[in-house]
Amino acid sequence: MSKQTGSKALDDLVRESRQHLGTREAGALDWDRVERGLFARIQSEQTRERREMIAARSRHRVAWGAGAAALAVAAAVALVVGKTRGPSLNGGGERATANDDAAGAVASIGQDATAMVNGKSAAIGAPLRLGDEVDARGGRVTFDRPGKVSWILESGSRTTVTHVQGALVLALQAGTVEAQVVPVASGEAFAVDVDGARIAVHGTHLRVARAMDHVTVDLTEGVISLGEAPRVGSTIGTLITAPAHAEFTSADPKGSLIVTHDPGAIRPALAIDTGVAASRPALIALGAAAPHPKPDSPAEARSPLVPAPRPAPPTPVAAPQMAAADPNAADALSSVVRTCFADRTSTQDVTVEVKTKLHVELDADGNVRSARFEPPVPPDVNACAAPAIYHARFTHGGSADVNVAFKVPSSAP
Amino acid sequence: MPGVLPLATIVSVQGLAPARPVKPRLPGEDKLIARAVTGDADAFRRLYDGHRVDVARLVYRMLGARSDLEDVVQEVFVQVYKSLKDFRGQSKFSTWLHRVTVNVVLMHRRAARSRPMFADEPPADPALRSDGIAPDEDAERRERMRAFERLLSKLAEKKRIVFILHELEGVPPSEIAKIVGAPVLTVRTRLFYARRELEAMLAEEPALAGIQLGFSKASSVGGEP
Repeated sequence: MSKQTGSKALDDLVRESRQHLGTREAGALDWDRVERGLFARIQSEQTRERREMIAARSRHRVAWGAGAAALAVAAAVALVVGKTRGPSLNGGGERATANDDAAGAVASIGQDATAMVNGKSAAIGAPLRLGDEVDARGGRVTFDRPGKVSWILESGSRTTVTHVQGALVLALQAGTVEAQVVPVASGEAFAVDVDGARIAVHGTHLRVARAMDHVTVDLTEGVISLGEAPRVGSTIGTLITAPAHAEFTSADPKGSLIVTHDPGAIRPALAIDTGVAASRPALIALGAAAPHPKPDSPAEARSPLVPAPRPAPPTPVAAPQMAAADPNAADALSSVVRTCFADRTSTQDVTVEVKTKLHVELDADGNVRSARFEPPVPPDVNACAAPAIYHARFTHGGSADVNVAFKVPSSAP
Repeated sequence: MPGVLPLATIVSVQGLAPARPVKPRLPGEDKLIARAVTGDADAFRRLYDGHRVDVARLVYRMLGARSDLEDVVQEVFVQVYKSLKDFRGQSKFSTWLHRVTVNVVLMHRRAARSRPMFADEPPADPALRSDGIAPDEDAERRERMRAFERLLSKLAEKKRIVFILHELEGVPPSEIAKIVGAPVLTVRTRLFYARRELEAMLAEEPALAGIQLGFSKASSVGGEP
């Protein structure tokens, strides 16, 4: 048989098969049997879901005493990046592993902070589940869903885990969430709902803060979609690309949206320290947050459509080098360097031990004039850490040495 | 060099133009999906009713005549129910459904491989069941279809999947790439080799050796070379 004949014969066979192969057999299945089994299994699945929902709701009956004023003050807490309490999670084995129904776990708790899950104090490693209501009191709490998202709940903030299958979705009741999201090939990896509005991300670093119904989003990396929370599927809304600062009211996200790409208006990203190798360091910068206006202040009552009296402006960001002095700047820089190292080694099956010293020369006002590592670090780590180093501000002038010593464990199982 | 193919050749491999496009959307499918996600059993049932035969046909084409065909189809829709909330609408529902089906079939095949099979357990052939379904198609065509099933079963799994999805189900390579998680070029390459192997096997399949002659004659009558 010639090649051409064989090809023609196959085409004819395929053409016939399209119509006949399996068509009658599919129609002749015992569909009653299929349906009986199918709907019985679905009913069983629904019963299980209802049980979980009831359990989640019962956990929500916890009364919360944190007032709105406290939330506003808490949102102004100076950055204490890397200042964590408790043991490192590296190799600790305490942390919950991410699976389909786990939202992650408490990764670190800031000094003087308390992590509350469903009204009870939670320790590092405490797992989060669907329906959990999470509260950060007295400081910042960091959560980690390994390999997917790391997020910070700022002091006085409260959120509820509303979706964990695939994308992690948080409903932000009060305060601020900042997240570093590992990009996904398709779909959305993480979203924050504020009432009916959704800020959905595919992989980015963003910060979402709410004061009453006013929402501010600082996007330092990636793309977000901002729109009404869909019942299913992707968020259809306005795409905003980094760098951007956006504000809107949750009741009318589309109509009230104001976006600026002015770098001076964008609050720098925090280094999210989960105590383990971060997936991506992204844009790491240090600085102090300006106090958010109190929720009952006149600024809050104004429409965000009036640009002039914009509430909660990230004032220090306009001139990052003028950030408030940070007593924990050394710790923060150490954390940044660790994060940068962790990222570059996360794909290797080796354990890396790092010992270096960051020597910084400071201006009289504490700003970093120059910096060098002794011994030197790889150029990519240098580049990764540089923005944070030069945005840091110490409480003193002269010079400072920041010791950096840690191990990045092998990522191999 | 054997196995190496000029890129241009791979890219140009198309096989037959899809005679039947991928199943069109059901009326109001998006709303049905949204309702089904919220637990609306009626909406889910309508989705099931609208797609069940297509799913069953695809399962049959991938697995052949088997006694557990109904179980696999049922499992596909259980997975659809469980995963529907993760359907993000970025691809067509039919593409997503194909992906779920392919995954369930592959899982089933893997499980079946690790399960002992009784030697005297004959695979069921629905066409031969005595449940009142009359074999109204001619015997010759049924024999051709069975022979073609045998040929398909000889293909490596990856090639068989792309061949069935493209040539029989009418799914374009770009969507197959999403379904099987491979680059489009890889899909086209698999299609090329699947066709080439099937063409070679045609000559060795007794039930088709005479039939292809018949095709050739029919083609000649139609004026084609």
